[in-house]
Amino acid sequence: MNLIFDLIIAVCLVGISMRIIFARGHFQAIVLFITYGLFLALAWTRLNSPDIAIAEAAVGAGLTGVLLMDTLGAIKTSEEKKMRIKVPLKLAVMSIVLVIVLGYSALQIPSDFSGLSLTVHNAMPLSGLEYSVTAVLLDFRSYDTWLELGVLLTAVIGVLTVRRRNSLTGSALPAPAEPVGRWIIKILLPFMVIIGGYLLWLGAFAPGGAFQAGVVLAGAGVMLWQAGHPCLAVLSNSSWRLLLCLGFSTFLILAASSLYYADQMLTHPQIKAWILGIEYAATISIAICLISLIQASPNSKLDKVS
Amino acid sequence: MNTFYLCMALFLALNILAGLWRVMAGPKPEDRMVAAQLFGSTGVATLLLLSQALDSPYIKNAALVFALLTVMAVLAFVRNTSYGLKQDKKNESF
Repeated sequence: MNLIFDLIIAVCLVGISMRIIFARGHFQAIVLFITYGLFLALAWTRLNSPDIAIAEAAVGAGLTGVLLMDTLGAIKTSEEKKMRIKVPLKLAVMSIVLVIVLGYSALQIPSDFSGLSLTVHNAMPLSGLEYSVTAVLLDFRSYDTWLELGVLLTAVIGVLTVRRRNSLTGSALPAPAEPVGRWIIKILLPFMVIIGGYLLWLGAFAPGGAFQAGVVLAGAGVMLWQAGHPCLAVLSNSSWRLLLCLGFSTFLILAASSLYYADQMLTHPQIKAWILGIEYAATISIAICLISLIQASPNSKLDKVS
Repeated sequence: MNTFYLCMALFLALNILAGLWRVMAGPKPEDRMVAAQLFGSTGVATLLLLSQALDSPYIKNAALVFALLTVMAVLAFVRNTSYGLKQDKKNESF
């Protein structure tokens, strides 16, 4: 039974991705991509990785769809050319070679291979955390997490540069406030804030954590913006920038200060406040970065107004 | 009992597969979008069933997040068709 389920998910993933590449309309490709996110979440569930399943469900179901739809709305002005997409032969050969190499190395893994989980398990007392994935992300490999926050920040700066905008505030809302939007905000916003906080708190001892919570909170912000609620626009430009950099700079400050009392960077004292501070700052920063990415991305209506 | 849950999850996955036909056939963007939204509800149910079948309760959180955020794509779709470009509706190849 398990095998049939896994096979169906695997076949669907490959089939949908092929269909996305060969789809004739862009809109069809976007809808298929949203469905692809669902199947990916199911695949991660079957692989017993709830952390990634939650992240994939949040990003794939919500924010990617909004970003792609807005982009489509912005590029629709130019005439859409219907063309048959051809996959170059070189690319096809290279992908097949890659598939063979990856498949061969996957077959070489011994079935009782446990990876680094034993090492992580033994080192858990050093981190002061209860859940291994959070310990890896925020303690053992905090350098990676720090740089990932940097990647998000760079993405926002990149979009702003390409769009020739120097501020994120003061931009027109995409839609006038209308009853349905207000109604959705009333119902969903409280849930989103509560569930965002819940996932953040859960990260200490179970699957969840800063990224998942940040994406849910970003979903709340994007919903406010989409439904025409002006409450995010009241944030001043400087506070918006401060929140954008919050996660990255918190890591920077803690890394620099840790050099005073320890030999190595990012060594932290055994207090919960250190981890909590990083996690909260990262959540806010991730949420604000994702909202900014969607607000600053091309939008047909805003382009016409400005 | 776990096999029963997995069978049900499999059935729902097959349902999604059947619905994919509507996404590909269209013909209107609305048809495709509504089909994708139905996958959202089916996906939540599938995730909940899998969480029971695999005895891993935290997958329920994935279902929770999924249920909350699927509506975003519809909001973006409505916004782009009603406030954005009017010719989208006429364009069947959309």
